[in-house]
Amino acid sequence: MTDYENELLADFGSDGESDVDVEGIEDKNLEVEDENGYVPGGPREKSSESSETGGGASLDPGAYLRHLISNSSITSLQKSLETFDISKIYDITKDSKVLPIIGYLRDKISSYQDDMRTDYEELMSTLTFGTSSNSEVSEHSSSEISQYQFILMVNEISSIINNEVSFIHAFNTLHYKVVFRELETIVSNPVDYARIMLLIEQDLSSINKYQEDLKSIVSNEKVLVITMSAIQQVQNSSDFKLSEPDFNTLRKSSSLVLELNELLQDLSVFISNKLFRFAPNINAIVGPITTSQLLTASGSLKQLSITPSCNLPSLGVKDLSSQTSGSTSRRIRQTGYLYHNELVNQLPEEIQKPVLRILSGKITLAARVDLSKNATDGSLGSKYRLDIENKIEKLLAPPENRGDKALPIPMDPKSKKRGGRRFRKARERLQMSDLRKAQNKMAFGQQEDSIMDSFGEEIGLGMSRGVSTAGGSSSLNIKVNNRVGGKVSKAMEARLKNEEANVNLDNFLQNTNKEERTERNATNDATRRINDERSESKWFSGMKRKRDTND
Amino acid sequence: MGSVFLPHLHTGWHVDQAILSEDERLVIVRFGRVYERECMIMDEFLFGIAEKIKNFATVYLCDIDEVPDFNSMYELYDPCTVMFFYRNKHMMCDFGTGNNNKLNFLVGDKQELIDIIETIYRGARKGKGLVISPIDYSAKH
Repeated sequence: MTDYENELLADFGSDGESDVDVEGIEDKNLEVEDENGYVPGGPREKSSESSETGGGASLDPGAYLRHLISNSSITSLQKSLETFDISKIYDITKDSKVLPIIGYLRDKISSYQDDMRTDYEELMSTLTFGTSSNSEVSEHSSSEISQYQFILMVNEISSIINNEVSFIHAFNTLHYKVVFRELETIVSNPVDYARIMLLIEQDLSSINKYQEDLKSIVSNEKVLVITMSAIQQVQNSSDFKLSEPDFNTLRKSSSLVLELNELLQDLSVFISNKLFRFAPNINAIVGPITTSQLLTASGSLKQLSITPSCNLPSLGVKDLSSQTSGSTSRRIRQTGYLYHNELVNQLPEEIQKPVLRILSGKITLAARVDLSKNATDGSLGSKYRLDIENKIEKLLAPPENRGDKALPIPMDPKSKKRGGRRFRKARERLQMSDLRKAQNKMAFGQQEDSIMDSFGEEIGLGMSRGVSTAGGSSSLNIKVNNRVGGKVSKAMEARLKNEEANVNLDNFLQNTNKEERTERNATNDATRRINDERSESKWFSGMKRKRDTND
Repeated sequence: MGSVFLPHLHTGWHVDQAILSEDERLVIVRFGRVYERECMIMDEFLFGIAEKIKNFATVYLCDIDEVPDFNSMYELYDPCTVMFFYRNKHMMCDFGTGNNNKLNFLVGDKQELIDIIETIYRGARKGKGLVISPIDYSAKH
């Protein structure tokens, strides 16, 4: 048991793995055996051999696959670059995590592809004879479930394979650099790089004879650039060559890249075939990759169909909390699977959001159609796809150029004021009084009277006092506007009266208090004095005091 | 450039017809020489606003060398003179410059020109022969 655990640890190259995890794997391992009934080799029987082969091939591939998926962090490129020092690795194929299970995956694919045919035959037979036993049906569905799970798993493993390819690519470039420095910058695709490396090996000086073969790998322009830089390399630097065993490891690793790439292609073909059966309409809209991603993220087709469409763009978002930093896009927070789909990804940023909305709406509809097993040929999905493309085209169209809009005719609108008795009265109440008008006028050549207001401002009285003639008395007879002034409502009148009574009562009480203190003066007198105090302003307090002393 | 797109009046008769034929709209006639700087700028302004004011005004251009008929009557000796007519009546506008008969200076921008035209149109609709410009140009010109 411990032996087995140690092996696992060694395989995964991560020292941080706890024992609990490993036991978890073992549990999964057992489950897989039960589910699939596929046991290529018992782990415990083969454990003795594994030390010799040095690979994970000895383990149950299904369990191994699950482990890889559940610990996808350890397979990420960055992690592997951190944990492994590429320059010190001699044979990278030994560290490959996917290599041991290639065979298993191939087996699975072929078996399920055969399944499709047999399923179909079975279905036909049950239809024709009309006698399908329950056990047969359940068997059928269980195989379907496991197949479905395998599809979901394949989706995960493809990203792992991609990571591994870039890891090996890093290894290749590091070692091949000494032979052909510029190839890395010219050919960025790992697969093409590996192919070219296998083709020309270390024979840079006679690169011209490979030209035809190179043309089958990369474009003509690239071939030219590669040839030129290879000749340059030969001329400039001393013709450095790797030793044969060194280059052998490079050969091995690049053929591994090719193999992995082939596996990836097989997987994608398999998945698109299979998805066409499970979810033909979604597949028709967004293609097999996004479909499988969405199915994985939501769990099942049923789950996907009951997910509200507004939630679909959020599926596959790496970290919702770190969206504020906005490294990728400021407009779109939900950079999930749909965002990375080629239908959305290449669009300009400003219309990505509406397109995401349209797309997710259609996907939800298509998921429901798929769930109900209608339109199994994906016709509805392709119709939706056309709709979406039309809508995108409309969104992409530039806005119509309308030119300048003519200004409206500058006509003054008719006054909305009403006429009539009531309106006239209201206006009279608020209009300036004749007295005020007279105040604003000044007699010519005469000094006007003025008063000081409470703020110390001088206010001219104009002709309101009447122009003082030689006699000194007013000669103007100014009409007083009786209609000016606010009206007091009955309620207000009652309130005022009430208030007055209260004030009187207060005064009375205060007076009695004062009387007690001073012990003199009649109540009437005191009332009058307090009233004075209230009504008169502070400037007259001196007078009052004087009167008090007089008293 | 704007002068190319606006209608030109090539004879005195055309000028008369242009002023006479318009019943509801203000007729704006620019008298001047296309090659003068001031005239070019004014043409550019007029072309820029012609589409906007088309509901209440129409713009014509007239070369004072090609059509000298009005030069003495309207005292057209500036490089660029803009005159306003409404129902065959010459509209005057008090710009504060002393000459109420015509706009013979450059206004600041298109919007100022639109404001002036709108004000003249309002006055014209009310039957006034002289309106006061919304902007006073006494200090500027």
